[in-house]
Amino acid sequence: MAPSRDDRFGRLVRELSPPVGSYLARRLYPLARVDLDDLVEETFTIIWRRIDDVPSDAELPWTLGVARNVLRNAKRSHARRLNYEGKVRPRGAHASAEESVLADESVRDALNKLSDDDREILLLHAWDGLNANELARTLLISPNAAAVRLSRAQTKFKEYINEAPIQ
Amino acid sequence: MSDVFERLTAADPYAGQTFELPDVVSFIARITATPRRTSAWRRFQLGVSGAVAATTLIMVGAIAALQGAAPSLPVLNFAAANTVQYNVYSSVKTSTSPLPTMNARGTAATVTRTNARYHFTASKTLSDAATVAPAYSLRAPNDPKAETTRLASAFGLSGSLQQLASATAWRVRSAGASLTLASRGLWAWSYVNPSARATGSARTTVPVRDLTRRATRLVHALGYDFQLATPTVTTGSATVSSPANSQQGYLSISLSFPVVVNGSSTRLTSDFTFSTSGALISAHGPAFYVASSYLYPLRTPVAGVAALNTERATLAHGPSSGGSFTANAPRAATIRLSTTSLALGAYQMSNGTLWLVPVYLFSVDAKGPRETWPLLAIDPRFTKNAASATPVGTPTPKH
Repeated sequence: MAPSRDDRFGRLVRELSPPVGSYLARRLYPLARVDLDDLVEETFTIIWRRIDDVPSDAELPWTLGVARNVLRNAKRSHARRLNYEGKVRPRGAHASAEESVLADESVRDALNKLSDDDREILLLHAWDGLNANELARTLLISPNAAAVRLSRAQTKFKEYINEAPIQ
Repeated sequence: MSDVFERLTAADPYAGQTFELPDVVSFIARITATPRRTSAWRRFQLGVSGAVAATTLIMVGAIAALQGAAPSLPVLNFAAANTVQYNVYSSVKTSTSPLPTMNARGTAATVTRTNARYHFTASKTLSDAATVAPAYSLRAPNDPKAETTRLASAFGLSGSLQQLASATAWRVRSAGASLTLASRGLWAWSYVNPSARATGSARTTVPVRDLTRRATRLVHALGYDFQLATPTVTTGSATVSSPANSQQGYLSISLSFPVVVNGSSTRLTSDFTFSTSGALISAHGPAFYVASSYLYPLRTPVAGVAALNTERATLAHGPSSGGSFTANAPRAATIRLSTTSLALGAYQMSNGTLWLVPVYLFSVDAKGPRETWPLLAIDPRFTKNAASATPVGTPTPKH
Protein backbone atom coordinates (compact mmCIF):
# COMPACT_ATOMS: atom_id res chain seq x y z
CA MET A 1 0.00 0.00 0.00
CA ALA A 2 1.41 3.39 -0.97
CA PRO A 3 2.34 5.60 1.99
CA SER A 4 0.05 8.50 2.80
CA ARG A 5 1.15 12.00 1.91
CA ASP A 6 1.79 12.76 5.56
CA ASP A 7 3.95 9.69 5.99
CA ARG A 8 5.90 10.40 2.84
CA PHE A 9 6.45 14.01 3.82
CA GLY A 10 7.64 12.99 7.26
CA ARG A 11 10.14 10.61 5.71
CA LEU A 12 11.34 13.27 3.27
CA VAL A 13 11.89 15.73 6.10
CA ARG A 14 13.86 13.23 8.16
CA GLU A 15 15.98 12.00 5.26
CA LEU A 16 16.49 15.18 3.28
CA SER A 17 16.61 18.01 5.81
CA PRO A 18 20.30 17.31 6.57
CA PRO A 19 21.52 17.55 2.95
CA VAL A 20 19.14 20.43 2.21
CA GLY A 21 20.26 22.33 5.28
CA SER A 22 23.90 21.65 4.46
CA TYR A 23 23.41 22.80 0.87
CA LEU A 24 21.87 26.07 2.05
CA ALA A 25 24.37 26.61 4.85
CA ARG A 26 27.28 26.51 2.43
CA ARG A 27 25.72 29.13 0.23
CA LEU A 28 24.05 31.49 2.69
CA TYR A 29 26.35 34.46 2.23
CA PRO A 30 25.40 37.34 2.08
CA LEU A 31 22.32 36.35 4.04
CA ALA A 32 22.56 35.97 7.78
CA ARG A 33 22.94 32.62 9.48
CA VAL A 34 19.59 33.15 11.18
CA ASP A 35 17.99 32.81 7.73
CA LEU A 36 19.04 29.17 7.42
CA ASP A 37 16.12 27.72 9.39
CA ASP A 38 13.67 29.91 7.51
CA LEU A 39 15.04 28.81 4.16
CA VAL A 40 14.88 25.15 5.16
CA GLU A 41 11.30 25.59 6.30
CA GLU A 42 10.39 27.47 3.15
CA THR A 43 11.89 24.68 1.08
CA PHE A 44 9.92 21.96 2.82
CA THR A 45 6.76 24.04 2.80
CA ILE A 46 7.00 24.01 -0.98
CA ILE A 47 7.75 20.28 -0.91
CA TRP A 48 4.62 19.71 1.18
CA ARG A 49 2.50 21.75 -1.20
CA ARG A 50 3.89 19.87 -4.19
CA ILE A 51 4.28 16.48 -2.55
CA ASP A 52 2.53 14.77 -5.44
CA ASP A 53 5.09 16.18 -7.87
CA VAL A 54 8.19 14.91 -6.06
CA PRO A 55 9.60 12.09 -8.23
CA SER A 56 10.14 8.94 -6.22
CA ASP A 57 13.35 8.15 -8.10
CA ALA A 58 14.96 11.56 -7.60
CA GLU A 59 13.75 12.91 -4.29
CA LEU A 60 17.03 14.50 -3.19
CA PRO A 61 17.98 16.28 -6.42
CA TRP A 62 14.41 17.49 -6.90
CA THR A 63 14.33 18.86 -3.38
CA LEU A 64 17.71 20.52 -3.84
CA GLY A 65 16.30 22.14 -6.95
CA VAL A 66 13.56 23.67 -4.81
CA ALA A 67 16.11 24.79 -2.22
CA ARG A 68 18.17 26.33 -4.99
CA ASN A 69 15.23 28.47 -6.11
CA VAL A 70 14.36 29.42 -2.56
CA LEU A 71 17.90 30.59 -1.95
CA ARG A 72 18.05 32.45 -5.23
CA ASN A 73 14.82 34.33 -4.43
CA ALA A 74 16.05 35.16 -0.94
CA LYS A 75 19.30 36.55 -2.28
CA ARG A 76 17.46 38.59 -4.89
CA SER A 77 15.32 40.15 -2.14
CA HIS A 78 18.45 40.87 -0.16
CA ALA A 79 20.15 42.43 -3.18
CA ARG A 80 17.13 44.59 -3.86
CA ARG A 81 17.19 45.84 -0.31
CA LEU A 82 20.83 46.72 -0.65
CA ASN A 83 19.99 48.61 -3.80
CA TYR A 84 17.27 50.54 -1.98
CA GLU A 85 19.85 51.64 0.52
CA GLY A 86 22.30 52.59 -2.21
CA LYS A 87 24.71 49.86 -1.15
CA VAL A 88 25.40 48.48 -4.57
CA ARG A 89 28.55 46.45 -4.63
CA PRO A 90 31.10 47.51 -7.24
CA ARG A 91 31.11 45.49 -10.44
CA GLY A 92 33.58 42.66 -10.24
CA ALA A 93 33.75 42.72 -6.48
CA HIS A 94 31.13 40.04 -6.06
CA ALA A 95 32.20 37.24 -3.77
CA SER A 96 30.31 34.01 -3.93
CA ALA A 97 29.08 32.40 -0.76
CA GLU A 98 31.56 29.59 -0.95
CA GLU A 99 34.52 31.84 -1.55
CA SER A 100 33.82 33.94 1.48
CA VAL A 101 34.55 31.09 3.85
CA LEU A 102 37.31 29.18 2.10
CA ALA A 103 40.60 29.01 3.85
CA ASP A 104 42.44 27.53 0.86
CA GLU A 105 43.22 30.66 -1.10
CA SER A 106 44.15 28.83 -4.29
CA VAL A 107 40.87 26.95 -4.31
CA ARG A 108 39.04 30.18 -3.55
CA ASP A 109 40.77 32.07 -6.35
CA ALA A 110 40.16 29.28 -8.85
CA LEU A 111 36.47 29.14 -7.96
CA ASN A 112 36.27 32.92 -8.29
CA LYS A 113 37.45 32.69 -11.89
CA LEU A 114 34.72 30.23 -12.87
CA SER A 115 31.38 31.40 -14.23
CA ASP A 116 28.41 31.15 -11.87
CA ASP A 117 27.06 28.13 -13.74
CA ASP A 118 30.39 26.30 -13.76
CA ARG A 119 30.96 26.98 -10.09
CA GLU A 120 27.47 25.83 -9.19
CA ILE A 121 27.67 22.48 -10.97
CA LEU A 122 31.20 21.85 -9.76
CA LEU A 123 30.27 22.36 -6.12
CA LEU A 124 26.99 20.47 -6.33
CA HIS A 125 29.14 17.53 -7.35
CA ALA A 126 32.12 18.10 -5.03
CA TRP A 127 30.34 19.25 -1.88
CA ASP A 128 26.76 18.02 -2.17
CA GLY A 129 27.75 14.70 -3.72
CA LEU A 130 25.44 14.72 -6.73
CA ASN A 131 26.29 12.53 -9.73
CA ALA A 132 25.53 13.51 -13.31
CA ASN A 133 21.98 12.13 -13.30
CA GLU A 134 21.21 13.86 -10.02
CA LEU A 135 22.74 17.09 -11.28
CA ALA A 136 20.42 16.87 -14.26
CA ARG A 137 17.33 16.55 -12.02
CA THR A 138 18.44 19.44 -9.82
CA LEU A 139 19.34 21.80 -12.63
CA LEU A 140 16.52 20.66 -14.93
CA ILE A 141 18.86 19.78 -17.78
CA SER A 142 19.49 16.51 -19.59
CA PRO A 143 21.91 13.99 -18.05
CA ASN A 144 24.17 14.38 -21.06
CA ALA A 145 24.24 18.15 -20.69
CA ALA A 146 24.97 17.77 -16.98
CA ALA A 147 27.88 15.44 -17.67
CA VAL A 148 29.31 17.78 -20.30
CA ARG A 149 28.99 20.85 -18.10
CA LEU A 150 30.52 19.12 -15.12
CA SER A 151 33.45 17.93 -17.14
CA ARG A 152 34.00 21.41 -18.53
CA ALA A 153 33.81 22.98 -15.09
CA GLN A 154 36.29 20.46 -13.69
CA THR A 155 38.73 21.10 -16.53
CA LYS A 156 38.59 24.84 -16.04
CA PHE A 157 38.95 24.56 -12.29
CA LYS A 158 42.02 22.38 -12.72
CA GLU A 159 43.56 24.86 -15.15
CA TYR A 160 42.95 27.81 -12.86
CA ILE A 161 44.26 26.14 -9.76
CA ASN A 162 47.37 24.97 -11.57
CA GLU A 163 47.97 28.53 -12.67
CA ALA A 164 48.18 29.69 -9.08
CA PRO A 165 51.66 30.64 -7.91
CA ILE A 166 53.32 28.12 -5.65
CA GLN A 167 53.20 29.41 -2.09
CA MET B 1 40.78 11.38 -7.37
CA SER B 2 43.40 13.95 -8.29
CA ASP B 3 44.97 16.10 -5.65
CA VAL B 4 43.21 19.17 -7.08
CA PHE B 5 39.77 17.79 -6.51
CA GLU B 6 40.71 16.38 -3.13
CA ARG B 7 41.62 19.91 -2.15
CA LEU B 8 38.29 21.12 -3.49
CA THR B 9 36.39 18.54 -1.44
CA ALA B 10 38.44 19.34 1.61
CA ALA B 11 37.65 23.03 1.18
CA ASP B 12 33.96 22.37 1.85
CA PRO B 13 33.07 25.01 4.50
CA TYR B 14 30.51 22.65 5.97
CA ALA B 15 32.78 19.59 6.02
CA GLY B 16 32.34 17.49 9.13
CA GLN B 17 29.06 19.17 10.01
CA THR B 18 25.53 17.93 9.55
CA PHE B 19 22.51 20.13 9.57
CA GLU B 20 19.90 18.91 12.02
CA LEU B 21 16.46 20.22 12.73
CA PRO B 22 16.13 20.91 16.46
CA ASP B 23 12.58 19.49 16.58
CA VAL B 24 11.55 17.46 13.57
CA VAL B 25 8.07 16.69 14.93
CA SER B 26 7.21 20.36 15.46
CA PHE B 27 8.74 21.28 12.12
CA ILE B 28 6.52 18.78 10.31
CA ALA B 29 3.44 19.74 12.31
CA ARG B 30 3.98 23.42 11.60
CA ILE B 31 4.19 22.89 7.86
CA THR B 32 1.42 20.34 7.51
CA ALA B 33 -0.90 22.47 9.66
CA THR B 34 -1.12 24.81 6.69
CA PRO B 35 -3.44 23.11 4.21
CA ARG B 36 -1.97 22.53 0.82
CA ARG B 37 -3.32 25.22 -1.49
CA THR B 38 -4.27 22.70 -4.12
CA SER B 39 -6.68 20.88 -1.81
CA ALA B 40 -8.47 24.09 -0.81
CA TRP B 41 -8.71 25.12 -4.43
CA ARG B 42 -10.05 21.74 -5.47
CA ARG B 43 -12.72 21.83 -2.78
CA PHE B 44 -13.72 25.28 -3.93
CA GLN B 45 -14.00 24.33 -7.53
CA LEU B 46 -16.41 21.37 -7.09
CA GLY B 47 -16.71 21.27 -10.80
CA VAL B 48 -17.20 25.03 -11.13
CA SER B 49 -14.58 26.69 -13.27
CA GLY B 50 -12.87 29.96 -12.47
CA ALA B 51 -13.54 32.54 -9.79
CA VAL B 52 -17.16 33.06 -8.78
CA ALA B 53 -18.84 36.40 -9.45
CA ALA B 54 -22.27 37.49 -8.32
CA THR B 55 -23.70 36.99 -11.79
CA THR B 56 -22.18 33.56 -12.40
CA LEU B 57 -24.87 31.01 -13.15
CA ILE B 58 -24.38 27.61 -11.57
CA MET B 59 -25.94 24.48 -12.94
CA VAL B 60 -29.01 23.45 -11.03
CA GLY B 61 -27.44 20.09 -10.39
CA ALA B 62 -24.46 21.66 -8.68
CA ILE B 63 -26.65 23.74 -6.41
CA ALA B 64 -28.84 20.77 -5.63
CA ALA B 65 -25.77 18.75 -4.76
CA LEU B 66 -24.50 21.52 -2.54
CA GLN B 67 -27.82 21.91 -0.82
CA GLY B 68 -27.87 18.19 -0.29
CA ALA B 69 -24.53 18.57 1.46
CA ALA B 70 -25.68 21.71 3.30
CA PRO B 71 -25.94 20.11 6.74
CA SER B 72 -22.14 19.66 6.71
CA LEU B 73 -21.49 23.36 6.19
CA PRO B 74 -20.59 25.18 9.39
CA VAL B 75 -23.08 27.84 10.46
CA LEU B 76 -21.21 31.11 10.78
CA ASN B 77 -22.01 32.75 14.09
CA PHE B 78 -20.77 36.31 13.73
CA ALA B 79 -19.30 38.10 16.70
CA ALA B 80 -21.01 41.20 18.07
CA ALA B 81 -19.99 44.53 16.57
CA ASN B 82 -16.32 45.10 17.25
CA THR B 83 -15.75 48.05 19.55
CA VAL B 84 -12.04 48.34 18.74
CA GLN B 85 -11.33 51.36 16.58
CA TYR B 86 -9.42 50.50 13.45
CA ASN B 87 -9.15 51.61 9.87
CA VAL B 88 -11.22 49.57 7.50
CA TYR B 89 -9.54 49.13 4.19
CA SER B 90 -11.90 48.62 1.34
CA SER B 91 -11.07 47.65 -2.17
CA VAL B 92 -13.84 49.96 -3.34
CA LYS B 93 -13.51 53.65 -2.77
CA THR B 94 -16.60 55.06 -1.18
CA SER B 95 -17.85 58.50 -1.88
CA THR B 96 -17.54 61.13 0.76
CA SER B 97 -19.71 63.67 -0.97
CA PRO B 98 -23.49 63.81 -1.05
CA LEU B 99 -24.93 61.29 -3.47
CA PRO B 100 -27.56 62.32 -5.99
CA THR B 101 -30.53 60.03 -5.54
CA MET B 102 -34.27 59.82 -5.71
CA ASN B 103 -36.43 60.88 -2.80
CA ALA B 104 -39.68 59.21 -1.84
CA ARG B 105 -41.61 61.23 -4.43
CA GLY B 106 -39.29 60.12 -7.18
CA THR B 107 -37.74 63.54 -7.52
CA ALA B 108 -34.05 63.84 -7.94
CA ALA B 109 -32.54 65.26 -4.82
CA THR B 110 -29.25 65.37 -3.08
CA VAL B 111 -29.41 63.63 0.23
CA THR B 112 -26.92 64.29 2.95
CA ARG B 113 -25.32 61.04 3.96
CA THR B 114 -25.79 61.41 7.66
CA ASN B 115 -29.08 61.54 9.50
CA ALA B 116 -31.08 59.94 6.72
CA ARG B 117 -33.00 56.70 6.36
CA TYR B 118 -32.88 54.89 3.09
CA HIS B 119 -35.24 52.54 1.28
CA PHE B 120 -33.56 50.32 -1.25
CA THR B 121 -35.11 48.92 -4.42
CA ALA B 122 -33.65 46.55 -6.96
CA SER B 123 -33.20 47.56 -10.57
CA LYS B 124 -34.13 44.99 -13.21
CA THR B 125 -30.44 44.69 -13.98
CA LEU B 126 -29.84 42.86 -10.70
CA SER B 127 -29.76 39.09 -10.92
CA ASP B 128 -32.14 36.78 -9.13
CA ALA B 129 -30.15 33.69 -9.97
CA ALA B 130 -28.86 31.36 -7.28
CA THR B 131 -25.09 31.27 -6.92
CA VAL B 132 -22.42 29.90 -4.65
CA ALA B 133 -19.15 31.37 -3.45
CA PRO B 134 -16.30 30.27 -1.19
CA ALA B 135 -15.71 31.37 2.36
CA TYR B 136 -12.37 30.79 4.06
CA SER B 137 -11.50 30.24 7.68
CA LEU B 138 -8.18 31.86 8.46
CA ARG B 139 -5.28 30.88 10.62
CA ALA B 140 -3.06 33.42 12.32
CA PRO B 141 0.70 32.96 12.49
CA ASN B 142 1.44 30.05 14.85
CA ASP B 143 4.33 31.78 16.57
CA PRO B 144 4.13 35.60 16.34
CA LYS B 145 7.64 36.03 17.74
CA ALA B 146 9.23 33.79 15.12
CA GLU B 147 6.93 35.23 12.49
CA THR B 148 8.09 38.77 13.25
CA THR B 149 11.71 37.70 12.93
CA ARG B 150 10.93 35.96 9.66
CA LEU B 151 9.14 38.98 8.23
CA ALA B 152 11.90 41.31 9.38
CA SER B 153 14.43 39.12 7.60
CA ALA B 154 12.40 39.35 4.41
CA PHE B 155 12.78 43.13 4.68
CA GLY B 156 16.48 42.78 5.45
CA LEU B 157 16.18 43.68 9.13
CA SER B 158 18.17 41.72 11.67
CA GLY B 159 17.80 43.63 14.91
CA SER B 160 16.61 42.32 18.23
CA LEU B 161 13.01 41.30 18.77
CA GLN B 162 10.92 43.23 21.29
CA GLN B 163 7.42 42.71 22.54
CA LEU B 164 5.30 45.85 22.61
CA ALA B 165 3.09 46.94 25.44
CA SER B 166 -0.08 45.68 23.80
CA ALA B 167 1.21 42.10 24.24
CA THR B 168 -0.11 41.11 20.80
CA ALA B 169 2.52 43.07 18.93
CA TRP B 170 6.16 42.38 18.20
CA ARG B 171 8.79 44.53 16.55
CA VAL B 172 12.27 44.27 15.07
CA ARG B 173 14.28 47.47 14.70
CA SER B 174 17.42 47.83 12.65
CA ALA B 175 19.26 50.94 11.50
CA GLY B 176 16.25 53.17 11.93
CA ALA B 177 13.84 50.87 10.10
CA SER B 178 11.34 48.64 11.84
CA LEU B 179 9.00 45.77 11.15
CA THR B 180 5.98 45.29 13.39
CA LEU B 181 3.54 42.39 13.57
CA ALA B 182 0.38 43.10 15.53
CA SER B 183 -3.15 41.84 15.97
CA ARG B 184 -6.45 43.62 16.37
CA GLY B 185 -8.55 40.71 15.32
CA LEU B 186 -6.71 40.34 12.04
CA TRP B 187 -2.93 40.09 12.25
CA ALA B 188 -1.09 42.65 10.15
CA TRP B 189 2.53 43.47 9.42
CA SER B 190 3.91 46.94 8.96
CA TYR B 191 7.31 48.21 7.81
CA VAL B 192 8.61 51.74 8.03
CA ASN B 193 11.96 53.31 7.21
CA PRO B 194 11.84 57.06 7.88
CA SER B 195 15.30 57.58 6.42
CA ALA B 196 14.21 56.31 2.99
CA ARG B 197 13.06 59.56 1.52
CA ALA B 198 13.39 61.43 -1.72
CA THR B 199 16.46 63.56 -2.15
CA GLY B 200 14.31 66.43 -3.17
CA SER B 201 13.56 65.48 -6.75
CA ALA B 202 9.98 66.07 -7.81
CA ARG B 203 10.39 63.67 -10.69
CA THR B 204 9.92 59.95 -10.36
CA THR B 205 13.05 58.16 -11.50
CA VAL B 206 11.81 54.59 -11.05
CA PRO B 207 9.06 53.21 -13.28
CA VAL B 208 5.88 52.34 -11.44
CA ARG B 209 5.95 48.87 -12.97
CA ASP B 210 9.29 48.24 -11.24
CA LEU B 211 7.87 49.34 -7.92
CA THR B 212 4.85 47.13 -8.51
CA ARG B 213 7.12 44.19 -9.25
CA ARG B 214 9.19 44.80 -6.12
CA ALA B 215 6.14 45.02 -3.91
CA THR B 216 4.55 41.95 -5.42
CA ARG B 217 7.71 39.87 -5.02
CA LEU B 218 8.15 41.05 -1.46
CA VAL B 219 4.64 40.04 -0.51
CA HIS B 220 5.15 36.72 -2.27
CA ALA B 221 8.28 36.18 -0.22
CA LEU B 222 6.29 36.75 2.96
CA GLY B 223 4.49 33.53 2.13
CA TYR B 224 0.92 34.32 3.15
CA ASP B 225 -2.08 32.81 1.46
CA PHE B 226 -3.04 35.69 -0.75
CA GLN B 227 -1.95 37.46 -3.89
CA LEU B 228 -1.97 41.08 -4.98
CA ALA B 229 -4.07 42.53 -7.77
CA THR B 230 -3.32 45.59 -9.88
CA PRO B 231 -2.60 48.52 -7.58
CA THR B 232 -4.07 51.96 -7.44
CA VAL B 233 -1.19 54.40 -7.79
CA THR B 234 -1.12 57.83 -6.25
CA THR B 235 1.66 60.34 -5.96
CA GLY B 236 2.04 63.03 -3.45
CA SER B 237 3.59 63.61 -0.12
CA ALA B 238 3.90 61.14 2.68
CA THR B 239 4.33 61.96 6.30
CA VAL B 240 6.45 59.74 8.43
CA SER B 241 6.88 60.03 12.16
CA SER B 242 10.53 60.08 13.01
CA PRO B 243 11.79 58.56 16.26
CA ALA B 244 11.64 62.04 17.75
CA ASN B 245 7.94 62.05 16.95
CA SER B 246 8.14 64.96 14.59
CA GLN B 247 6.57 64.59 11.22
CA GLN B 248 8.12 65.45 7.94
CA GLY B 249 6.66 65.43 4.48
CA TYR B 250 8.28 63.73 1.54
CA LEU B 251 7.54 63.28 -2.13
CA SER B 252 6.28 59.75 -2.59
CA ILE B 253 4.55 57.18 -4.73
CA SER B 254 1.88 55.05 -3.08
CA LEU B 255 0.65 51.73 -4.38
CA SER B 256 -2.50 50.25 -2.89
CA PHE B 257 -2.90 46.61 -3.88
CA PRO B 258 -6.23 44.84 -3.49
CA VAL B 259 -5.68 41.53 -1.73
CA VAL B 260 -6.93 38.48 -3.63
CA VAL B 261 -7.49 34.96 -2.27
CA ASN B 262 -7.72 32.13 -4.78
CA GLY B 263 -8.84 34.56 -7.46
CA SER B 264 -11.53 36.20 -5.32
CA SER B 265 -11.29 39.90 -4.49
CA THR B 266 -11.27 40.86 -0.85
CA ARG B 267 -11.94 44.15 0.88
CA LEU B 268 -8.41 44.15 2.24
CA THR B 269 -5.43 45.93 0.79
CA SER B 270 -1.68 45.89 1.09
CA ASP B 271 -0.12 49.31 0.69
CA PHE B 272 3.39 50.42 -0.23
CA THR B 273 4.89 53.91 -0.25
CA PHE B 274 8.12 54.56 -2.10
CA SER B 275 10.22 57.67 -2.47
CA THR B 276 10.50 59.06 -5.96
CA SER B 277 13.91 57.40 -6.19
CA GLY B 278 12.41 54.01 -5.38
CA ALA B 279 13.37 53.58 -1.74
CA LEU B 280 10.72 51.86 0.36
CA ILE B 281 9.40 54.29 2.96
CA SER B 282 6.60 52.22 4.40
CA ALA B 283 4.42 49.19 3.73
CA HIS B 284 1.77 47.19 5.47
CA GLY B 285 -0.58 44.31 4.82
CA PRO B 286 -2.51 41.47 6.42
CA ALA B 287 -0.83 38.37 7.79
CA PHE B 288 -2.96 35.26 7.48
CA TYR B 289 -3.03 31.72 6.18
CA VAL B 290 -6.09 29.92 4.84
CA ALA B 291 -7.07 27.09 7.16
CA SER B 292 -10.01 25.71 5.20
CA SER B 293 -12.57 26.70 2.60
CA TYR B 294 -16.26 26.02 2.18
CA LEU B 295 -18.58 26.68 -0.70
CA TYR B 296 -21.70 28.45 0.52
CA PRO B 297 -24.95 29.14 -1.27
CA LEU B 298 -25.66 32.84 -1.56
CA ARG B 299 -28.90 34.74 -1.36
CA THR B 300 -29.71 36.25 -4.71
CA PRO B 301 -28.79 39.91 -5.29
CA VAL B 302 -32.49 40.76 -5.49
CA ALA B 303 -33.11 39.08 -2.14
CA GLY B 304 -30.07 40.92 -0.85
CA VAL B 305 -31.60 44.30 -1.70
CA ALA B 306 -34.72 43.34 0.25
CA ALA B 307 -32.50 42.33 3.15
CA LEU B 308 -30.83 45.74 3.09
CA ASN B 309 -34.15 47.26 4.01
CA THR B 310 -34.71 44.97 6.98
CA GLU B 311 -31.14 44.70 8.18
CA ARG B 312 -29.92 48.21 7.54
CA ALA B 313 -33.00 50.42 7.20
CA THR B 314 -32.67 51.58 10.77
CA LEU B 315 -29.03 52.42 10.34
CA ALA B 316 -28.03 55.81 9.05
CA HIS B 317 -25.57 55.46 6.27
CA GLY B 318 -22.87 57.85 7.20
CA PRO B 319 -19.10 57.87 7.16
CA SER B 320 -17.52 54.70 8.44
CA SER B 321 -16.30 56.53 11.50
CA GLY B 322 -19.61 57.94 12.61
CA GLY B 323 -23.14 58.91 11.63
CA SER B 324 -25.93 58.20 14.03
CA PHE B 325 -29.63 57.77 13.45
CA THR B 326 -31.83 60.41 14.93
CA ALA B 327 -35.57 60.04 15.53
CA ASN B 328 -36.41 63.20 13.61
CA ALA B 329 -34.49 62.26 10.50
CA PRO B 330 -35.72 63.58 7.17
CA ARG B 331 -38.16 61.56 5.14
CA ALA B 332 -36.83 58.32 3.70
CA ALA B 333 -34.96 58.45 0.41
CA THR B 334 -35.30 55.66 -2.09
CA ILE B 335 -32.16 54.33 -3.63
CA ARG B 336 -32.41 52.10 -6.67
CA LEU B 337 -29.52 49.67 -6.70
CA SER B 338 -28.53 48.52 -10.13
CA THR B 339 -25.18 46.81 -9.89
CA THR B 340 -23.42 44.53 -7.48
CA SER B 341 -20.05 42.92 -7.16
CA LEU B 342 -18.80 40.23 -4.83
CA ALA B 343 -15.81 40.56 -2.54
CA LEU B 344 -14.52 38.73 0.52
CA GLY B 345 -14.78 40.59 3.80
CA ALA B 346 -12.92 39.66 6.99
CA TYR B 347 -15.17 38.94 9.95
CA GLN B 348 -14.66 37.54 13.40
CA MET B 349 -16.93 34.78 14.64
CA SER B 350 -18.24 34.45 18.16
CA ASN B 351 -15.65 31.75 18.90
CA GLY B 352 -12.84 34.11 17.98
CA THR B 353 -11.99 32.58 14.62
CA LEU B 354 -11.49 34.82 11.60
CA TRP B 355 -13.14 34.19 8.26
CA LEU B 356 -13.22 35.71 4.82
CA VAL B 357 -16.83 35.60 3.72
CA PRO B 358 -18.49 36.79 0.50
CA VAL B 359 -20.04 40.25 0.66
CA TYR B 360 -22.26 41.91 -1.91
CA LEU B 361 -21.26 45.46 -2.74
CA PHE B 362 -24.37 47.13 -4.13
CA SER B 363 -24.14 50.43 -5.92
CA VAL B 364 -26.18 52.92 -7.86
CA ASP B 365 -25.59 53.55 -11.50
CA ALA B 366 -25.58 57.30 -11.01
CA LYS B 367 -23.53 60.16 -12.28
CA GLY B 368 -20.90 61.47 -9.96
CA PRO B 369 -19.16 59.61 -7.17
CA ARG B 370 -20.36 56.06 -6.69
CA GLU B 371 -21.12 54.74 -3.31
CA THR B 372 -21.42 51.14 -2.23
CA TRP B 373 -23.59 49.41 0.32
CA PRO B 374 -22.18 46.14 1.60
CA LEU B 375 -24.27 43.14 2.67
CA LEU B 376 -23.19 39.68 3.72
CA ALA B 377 -24.06 37.46 0.77
CA ILE B 378 -24.25 34.02 2.40
CA ASP B 379 -27.69 32.43 2.59
CA PRO B 380 -29.03 33.38 6.06
CA ARG B 381 -29.74 29.72 6.76
CA PHE B 382 -25.99 29.39 7.34
CA THR B 383 -25.41 32.51 9.42
CA LYS B 384 -26.28 33.88 12.86
CA ASN B 385 -26.10 37.51 13.96
CA ALA B 386 -25.04 38.52 10.47
CA ALA B 387 -27.13 41.70 10.51
CA SER B 388 -25.02 43.23 13.27
CA ALA B 389 -21.67 41.96 12.03
CA THR B 390 -18.96 44.47 11.24
CA PRO B 391 -15.90 43.67 9.22
CA VAL B 392 -12.38 43.47 10.58
CA GLY B 393 -9.98 45.67 8.68
CA THR B 394 -6.26 45.68 8.22
CA PRO B 395 -5.06 47.92 11.00
CA THR B 396 -1.72 49.62 10.53
CA PRO B 397 0.43 48.81 13.53
CA LYS B 398 1.78 52.03 14.96
CA HIS B 399 5.53 52.59 14.87
